[in-house]
Amino acid sequence: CAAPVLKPEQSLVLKEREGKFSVLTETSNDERESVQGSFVWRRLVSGWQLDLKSPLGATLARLTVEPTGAMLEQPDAPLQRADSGDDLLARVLGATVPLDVLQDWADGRVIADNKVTDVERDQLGRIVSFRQSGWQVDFDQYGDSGPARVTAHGKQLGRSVTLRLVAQQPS
Amino acid sequence: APAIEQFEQFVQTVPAARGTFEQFTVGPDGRTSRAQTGVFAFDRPGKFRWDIQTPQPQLVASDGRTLYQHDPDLQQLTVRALDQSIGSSPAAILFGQGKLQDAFEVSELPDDDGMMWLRAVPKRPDAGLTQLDIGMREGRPARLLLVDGFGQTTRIELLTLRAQSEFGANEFVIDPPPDTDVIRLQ
Repeated sequence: CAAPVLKPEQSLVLKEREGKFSVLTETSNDERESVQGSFVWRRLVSGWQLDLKSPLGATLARLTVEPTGAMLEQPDAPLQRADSGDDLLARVLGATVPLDVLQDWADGRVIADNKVTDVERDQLGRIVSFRQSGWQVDFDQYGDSGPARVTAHGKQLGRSVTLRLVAQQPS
Repeated sequence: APAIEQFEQFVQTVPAARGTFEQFTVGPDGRTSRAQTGVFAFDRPGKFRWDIQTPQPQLVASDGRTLYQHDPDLQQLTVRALDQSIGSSPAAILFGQGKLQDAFEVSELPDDDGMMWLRAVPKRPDAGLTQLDIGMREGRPARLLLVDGFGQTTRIELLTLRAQSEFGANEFVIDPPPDTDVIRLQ
């Protein structure tokens, strides 16, 4: 396969986050498809990079997003480029995932001005659910550095999409 | 006996076993991920378990017909038919029955770290696996080095491996807790 064009060490890896994800899509005649595995998310000097991995650790897809554009690398497949990461990632996951706010969700950050509505909190004042950019988002399994689990339900082209994300507490 | 002969003898003489493993991913820049630890079991042909327990649980099992992928944190179990996609993955190699040479170009490597080594390169491109080295010690696989399409190496240490005469009925089936979302895929 094409050797990866951009190796992590060529750009300074500032911050790395690991965890697990699943994206479940269900059509009206209840055909279901699911992509499940673990991820490594790295902030690079000029953007960020997301590796999707199988339980045995093999990297199945690498999405690199820079100001100049986005690139999707998959073994045994030609390199794909696009202006933004969203539609590239959708090809792997089968649904569009809100990349711009995903990082906030993984860190349990809810930015009030970002079209966030219906915020609900628990007795400790921690946010447990809200709506944002067409997604119904639920936080739970709160650890000391924020919610460990994010579940987001959305509707896309008549299909319901459930994104689940469990971020490992930063080591 | 060279590594290949040892491995083929292992496949013949150990039809079923249970053990523990430790797993790391080493990036092209040499950085190692945190170790994952877990347990495995196999019963040839085709039945296996690969249960990562720490730091975050991820359970994979197959009874030879169905593949179960359970993530307790995500509360999701995916159930799909075991198809050829498992063909040349490490699970199929360690727990399968066919000759290694069927799906791989196999060659001997020099001894290293007290082990005799063989290298298996998939004949057909396999999503994610470009090369698998197996280190044999006392007739048993002790270390696996999987190289994926991004130059990342996953190192798996098979810490213990005990032959097993038989297993419980649902050893290779995952029956998840009630609040699990079970997704059956065609």
